[in-house]
Amino acid sequence: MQKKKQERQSTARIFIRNLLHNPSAVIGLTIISIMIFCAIFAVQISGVEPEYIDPINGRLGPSFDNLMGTDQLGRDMLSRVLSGGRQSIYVGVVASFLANLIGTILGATAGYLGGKVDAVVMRVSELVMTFPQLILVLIFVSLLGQGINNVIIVFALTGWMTTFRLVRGEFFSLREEAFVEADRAFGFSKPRIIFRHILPNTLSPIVVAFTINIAIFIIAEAGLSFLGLGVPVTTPTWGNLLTAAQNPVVVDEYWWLWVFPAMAIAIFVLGVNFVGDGLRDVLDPRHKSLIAKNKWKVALVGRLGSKK
Amino acid sequence: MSLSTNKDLILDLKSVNVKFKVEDDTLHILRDVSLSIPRGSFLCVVGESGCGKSVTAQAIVQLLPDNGEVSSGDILFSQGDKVVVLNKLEKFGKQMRDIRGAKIGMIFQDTLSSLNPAHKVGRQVAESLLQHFPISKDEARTRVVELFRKLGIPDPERRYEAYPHEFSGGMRQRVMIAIATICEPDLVIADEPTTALDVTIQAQIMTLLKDLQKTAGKTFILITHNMALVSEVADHVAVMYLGRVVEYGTVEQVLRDPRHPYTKALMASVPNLDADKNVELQTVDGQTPSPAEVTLGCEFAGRCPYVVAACREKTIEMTQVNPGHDVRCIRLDKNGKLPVLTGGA
Repeated sequence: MQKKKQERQSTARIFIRNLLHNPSAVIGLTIISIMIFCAIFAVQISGVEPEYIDPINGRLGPSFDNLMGTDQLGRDMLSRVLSGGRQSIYVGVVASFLANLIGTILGATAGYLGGKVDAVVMRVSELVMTFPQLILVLIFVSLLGQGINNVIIVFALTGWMTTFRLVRGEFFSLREEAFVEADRAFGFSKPRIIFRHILPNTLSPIVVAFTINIAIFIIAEAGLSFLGLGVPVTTPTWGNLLTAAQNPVVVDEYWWLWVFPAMAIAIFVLGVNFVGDGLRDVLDPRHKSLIAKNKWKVALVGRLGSKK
Repeated sequence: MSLSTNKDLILDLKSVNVKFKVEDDTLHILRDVSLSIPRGSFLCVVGESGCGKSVTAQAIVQLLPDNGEVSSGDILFSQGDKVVVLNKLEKFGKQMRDIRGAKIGMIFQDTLSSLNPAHKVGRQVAESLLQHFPISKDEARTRVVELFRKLGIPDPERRYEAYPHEFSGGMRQRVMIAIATICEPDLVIADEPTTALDVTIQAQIMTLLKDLQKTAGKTFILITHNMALVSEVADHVAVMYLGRVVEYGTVEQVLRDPRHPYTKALMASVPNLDADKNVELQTVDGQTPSPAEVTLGCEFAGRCPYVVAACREKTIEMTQVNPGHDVRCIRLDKNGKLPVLTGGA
């Protein structure tokens, strides 16, 4: 079995190869990369600054000059939608990262230690979860005030519970594993066992939760901004652009002002979800994927070969 | 003979009692276990499942499950010049953690689940070394590769980078032995290290352990229920039954001349190639009673063919039948022999 192996491949390389063989991951990654690229080079692509005002050409429909039309102040919608992506994606990624960080640290500690620590953190998470997230966010925003960083903090504080429960559950089963007992017998300290030895084994669900949370937070940001409570209106974000649709006249007659930002959100979130699904397929060994198929063969050969 | 007076002992268990809390009940798992282990010896602890072999090991390294505790008795461990009482140390304190891994190595039964699937094996061995000694990572790596080579792991440089699932069972057990011995501990406790392996690999692993004992002068405690293995490697044997050591002696004394009815029955149940094919293999009648059921007297009384009323009256003490050979049975005569059975059984 050992001799059969031609070249040792690092797990990272196997992982990337499997990911690139997963259609939904590839589609999702393509969508995300293109949109991030466009967001970064928004000005170069559209040729206009998103803040450039041209009142004479206000509320023009899509044309070759302005692919997505212009708003009431004559600002180019293409430029605004693309650069709006910067803020929206930034909020989504950073908030998701922070929420996962909080959830992971708390989940790992509570899951490994159990007992009182676990009970306390668990009650706190239940307390936070009893409130509908939107209401909680509204309360926090009114306390902290508007601003892009405040939105991120609020999302992190209200969105860590899913990851927390996920990681805690994983730790509950992993802490009973023989290798953890072995770690204890080798004299390793608790933090070392928790973060260096058990945590790497829970990375898959954390990565999946991270991507799913990005999508959730981008939508949440849009909703919050639509209500005028998120990022200040002066910064273009996808949510802020949608605010235009609060006006029934805009909904009726100037469709390009809300259809394009809405599409941008929908497509990006779809892309993120595709990546999340793909990651889940690749990282979950029970799922049919390249690595799983090979493992099956190895396991089968191993079992037949070692039959006493 | 006690550790404080005898410098040749490395570990001395003095009537250790371990109790487990299970819901409202308290189970008495280890009863007055006393074992004196000389430095450089190879002790085998045998007995059927549930007799407290593994609990003894866990009690020594202070890794009993949360609901278990050493309720009385002392576990003395000789550390160079000083003697420490292991069960008086803080379970996860610095001192105990320094002893675990560095002074007492552990080898576990299930090799696949005892290794962390997320880390390279080399790193796992090196980590144990880095944990206990102030050496550089490169140095640790060199020593790990060296040890891998010594333990018969082919192509150690390359295997250092491999993950546990890429190893076969025997190779994984070698890695476990590497982790347990890399810090040069004085005492190695192996808890059924070969149960999950097939017979040829078993032999290789046991030879390896025996070599380590002979060449490096390490002390081994091997927990097993495999009698053939015991006769191969052990110097001393302790037979346990339901939390008590019922017979203790050198391997010759216990295996060739068992005195306790339980040891006798255990030896009779070992399959023998020369035996008459028409004679059915003997088994020990009945089942191990649950620790909760035990009341007074000899624990083996319920299954013992030699049982008399006196067996159930009070706790049986260890008696010496030969120098170094102790048996816990009151049915032995002046010469330390069991009476001849009349009738069936």
